[in-house]
Amino acid sequence: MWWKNKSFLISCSVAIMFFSLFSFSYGARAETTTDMEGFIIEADRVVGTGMSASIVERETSATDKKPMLQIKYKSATIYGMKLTKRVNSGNGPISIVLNAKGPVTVYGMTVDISAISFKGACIHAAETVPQLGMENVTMVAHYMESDDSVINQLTLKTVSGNAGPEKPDQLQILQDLSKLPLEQLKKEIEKIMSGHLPLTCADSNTAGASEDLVGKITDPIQDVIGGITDPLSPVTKPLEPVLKPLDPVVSVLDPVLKPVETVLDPVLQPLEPALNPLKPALKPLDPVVQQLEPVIKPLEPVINGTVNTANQTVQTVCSKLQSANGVITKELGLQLIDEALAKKVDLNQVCPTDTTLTNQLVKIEESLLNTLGISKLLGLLIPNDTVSKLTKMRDEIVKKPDGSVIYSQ
Amino acid sequence: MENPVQLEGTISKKAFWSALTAGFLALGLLLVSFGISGVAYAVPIAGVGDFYVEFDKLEGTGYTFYPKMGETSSEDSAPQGTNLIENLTITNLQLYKDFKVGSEWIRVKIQASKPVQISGLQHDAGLIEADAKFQNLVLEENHSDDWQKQFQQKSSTITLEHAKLKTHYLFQKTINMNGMKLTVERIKK
Repeated sequence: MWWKNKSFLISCSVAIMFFSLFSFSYGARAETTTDMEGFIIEADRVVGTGMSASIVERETSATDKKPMLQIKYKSATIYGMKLTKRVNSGNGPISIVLNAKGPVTVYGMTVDISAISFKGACIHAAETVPQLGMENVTMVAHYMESDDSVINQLTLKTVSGNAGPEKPDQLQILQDLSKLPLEQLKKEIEKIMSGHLPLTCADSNTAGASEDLVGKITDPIQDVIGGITDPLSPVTKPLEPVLKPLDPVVSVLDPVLKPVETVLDPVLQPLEPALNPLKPALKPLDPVVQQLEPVIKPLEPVINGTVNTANQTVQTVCSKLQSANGVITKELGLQLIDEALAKKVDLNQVCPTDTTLTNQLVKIEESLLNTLGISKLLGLLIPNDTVSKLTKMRDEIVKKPDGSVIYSQ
Repeated sequence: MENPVQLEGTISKKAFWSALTAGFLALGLLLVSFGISGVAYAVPIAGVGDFYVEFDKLEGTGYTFYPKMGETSSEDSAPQGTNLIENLTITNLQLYKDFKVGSEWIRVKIQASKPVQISGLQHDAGLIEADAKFQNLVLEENHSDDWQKQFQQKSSTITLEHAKLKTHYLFQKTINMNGMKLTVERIKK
């Protein structure tokens, strides 16, 4: 038979071998290309204000369009930032490594990402400006832009090989969002867009946090109280159909009320003469709320959280001072003085834990006293009266035009 | 065993100083020529291996960065980054390279006491250390078969302060370098 010919079989074998080799090599190349997609941004901590997010399509090094999460910040400070871009040069892989030993401050930042892992991102709603914090961030970005960027102690180098960490396995945010029903998905995106939704919380390692977590973070007091009072609704509503036809159904209700006697006894008695009209029946429910005391206890950590938030507001003033890079505007100056007035301390004691900032505040105070002519106003009459001095300084700063620089290093 | 050692020392120093003198003369002529006119055109600094550029402040417009493979003093092809800046001014610029002569090190340094104005800068560097500020900074990927175009960093303005750049190649379309000084000094390493 012709197909049993030795040369024919060898030809077929060789053809199959080449086909296999070609297929494997093509697959390997494709995998390498995919692996080179994006630049990896790592950060120890990111603190941003005015955050919003949406889903967009963006060009990558391997494709024309790819769905990804777009995060925007009005401003953000990135601590411990490292950016790594791997490229296949033809002579082997090379890596561009941008490292910032100092804090990176960006204004008007947009970053499009396809993968991300982080923890501890929460919005602190008690603050005037919404603030988002993330820690141990690793993201695969494909596009990043900012209006203004300040990168202290930048190191930019190009080295051989694949530098940087492993990419995050999956885009948790998109995955979690995709699992939601359509209506809930829209709500989640709306929340992200309006800046009220944290991407995740410290208690959850998954992005796209659950509703419970969102409620606790976006408005610590109101939302949590809402979460506790809401369960009362299903308790009172079922009473309505029961209370109206109570007379014929009392015998049926007895077994139901007994387990609640300890709670309802003082309530039901005043209810009896007023069972027919529903309105009077609702008033005696007040004592029931008091019985919820054990439920209110979980509020304590939230209240503590509020106190922490107040502390963080102070930190924000200090962090704003740090971010200002020695340029103090009227608004920041007023915030610093307000903080000092609230604490009844000298201006240079607003950020007592940070030596650099304290030294800076000493200079700012001296400069303000000189440049604003306050030293002439105060003279030697009240040199030690902190509050009066601060008030005078405040009065002088208020007269300055909005946005004006009152001190510059 | 002793002769080769004596010969090596004598000949290498002679050859080195001859070459260095000739190089300095040529460089001096070049610098004098544009010192008279104030501006030099299409000035490349290459073929001397790695050298360092340091300055207090650089302010530029039209910045672009992309990766490349290029020659260094130790390799024919090594990873580098190309920095293009359309127009820039550098304050307190210093360029230097260290040579080992026998057992000693000397540093050849060019510095400018006045601000240096450059247009059309191409700067290939393996390492940049600085405090940086950018306006309208964009880092983006592009879908391209050309690996050098797959990643770009651009900004409308760039400011570098307290900078040190390990440089492999430098080219300027025009450079205005007033207050320039060339020094050769012995250094300890």
